[in-house]
Amino acid sequence: MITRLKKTTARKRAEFVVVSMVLVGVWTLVLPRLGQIDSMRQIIDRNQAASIDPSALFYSDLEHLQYKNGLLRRDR
Amino acid sequence: MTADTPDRPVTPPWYRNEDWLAVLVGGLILAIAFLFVWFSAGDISLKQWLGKPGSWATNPIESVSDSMTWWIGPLLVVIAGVVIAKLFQGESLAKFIVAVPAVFLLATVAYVMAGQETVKHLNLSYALWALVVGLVISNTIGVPDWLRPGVATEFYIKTGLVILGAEVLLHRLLALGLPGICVAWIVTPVVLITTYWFGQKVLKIESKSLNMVVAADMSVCGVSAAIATAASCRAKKEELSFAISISLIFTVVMMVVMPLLIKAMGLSSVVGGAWLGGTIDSTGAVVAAGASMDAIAEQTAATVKMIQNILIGVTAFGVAVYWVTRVETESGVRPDAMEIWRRFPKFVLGFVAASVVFTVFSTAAGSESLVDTMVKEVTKGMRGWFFCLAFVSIGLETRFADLKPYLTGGKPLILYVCGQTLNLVLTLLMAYLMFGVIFADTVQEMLAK
Repeated sequence: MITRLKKTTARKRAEFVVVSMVLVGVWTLVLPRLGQIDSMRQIIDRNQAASIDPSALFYSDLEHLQYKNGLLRRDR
Repeated sequence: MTADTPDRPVTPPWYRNEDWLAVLVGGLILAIAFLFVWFSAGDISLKQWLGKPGSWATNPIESVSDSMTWWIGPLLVVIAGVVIAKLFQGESLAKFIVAVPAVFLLATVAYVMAGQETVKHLNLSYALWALVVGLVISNTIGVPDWLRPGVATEFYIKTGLVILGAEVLLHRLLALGLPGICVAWIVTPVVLITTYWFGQKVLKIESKSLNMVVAADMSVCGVSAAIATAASCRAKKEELSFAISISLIFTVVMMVVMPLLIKAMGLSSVVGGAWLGGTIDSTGAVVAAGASMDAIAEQTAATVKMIQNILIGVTAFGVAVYWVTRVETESGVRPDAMEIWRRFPKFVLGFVAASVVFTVFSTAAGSESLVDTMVKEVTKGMRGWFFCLAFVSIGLETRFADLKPYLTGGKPLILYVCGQTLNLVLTLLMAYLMFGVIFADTVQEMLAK
């Protein structure tokens, strides 16, 4: 019984390590390379040039736009 | 007919009720932030002390190495918030001292994952990665007992929503005048109600709360609307996870495809921008899609989306009222006023009160910039941390098996696709009529100011 429990715990830990390693690999190797593909690079460069945060959840997260005269406008 | 009262459960005192404690903690954070910005006249920047991990391209260390102090403020505020709530609830504080910082650390990992530039520019926000971080732990090694006290999904979500209330400035509902009202005020509720009706009557989706969260997420403004609606109708955590996952996936596709479609259809920047703003779920993706066309499309899209953002106040309140008066009642039995009050999610009142109070402050002469500074410097960052902690907690409480029912059968996915199709058609019609025909000149004048 105790041996089985130890095996299960060891298996769970191994699963955790494997999944974590996969995530680290994807984030440090795959995604940076994906970001260099032309079509993706264009999107990234365009957003960065225009100071756009595409991950904004709410309008107040849009640092480059200010509410003025009934419209969200770019800072001039 | 009214409900009988003898069997009514005993209601705990207000100071032990999680909703009121979220209102208290969220209210305190807003009050302190406002007073700080007021007395410092906005001259002192807190961003160095109240930050979050930033963007990075190839090395994740870049995201946390800009400033070594960004984490101190959020961690202290979260610990203080939990300590206040637990003191009122009469719980021992010792177990939270390690657990809350540990969950905060997991939320930091989620923010670092979301900060990778490819992920960020595909609009795959921290909410998704916070869920992933939690799910990985709960489905492999399991959540250790010492970590469980830090898993407080409801408290984090409700506190985050009360803080979000200060960003829901109601007078901005009138931005863009009548055309904005028609696109955001008429189409959005019509799509929301029709999608909910379609899910119940045609698709016969068993869970009303899942139906409502998917409908609100798709028709209003994505993740933030899903969070507010899920809390208002007491949706299951898996339902919220499922709704935001669908929404984020469709957002990536729509953000890329819609500008191309607008060009192919030959729509003007104003009409195209209004269409983008009214249909793409996520605010950041709306702006990115608009900017890929031109500045006019970007501003129109962002403003229409802002109006929808503010509608979440009305939506959360409306859904909460509908749920306690219609959905949670036994068939044919109408609850009395006391019963409605007992069931009503009180944090919604805190959310609405924050919205009203800061709308009044914002409309007072010279105070609009004060409120904007408070939001930018303090409260939007804290709102983000509370939501991120909530999604980590949801992940930590969820087994993959819990998500299975939502992935089989495909009804919620069909609901999203049908609702979004209706949204696309109605918003295009209204945007074309309002921005391209009836008020075309007025909108052009406003843009030229």
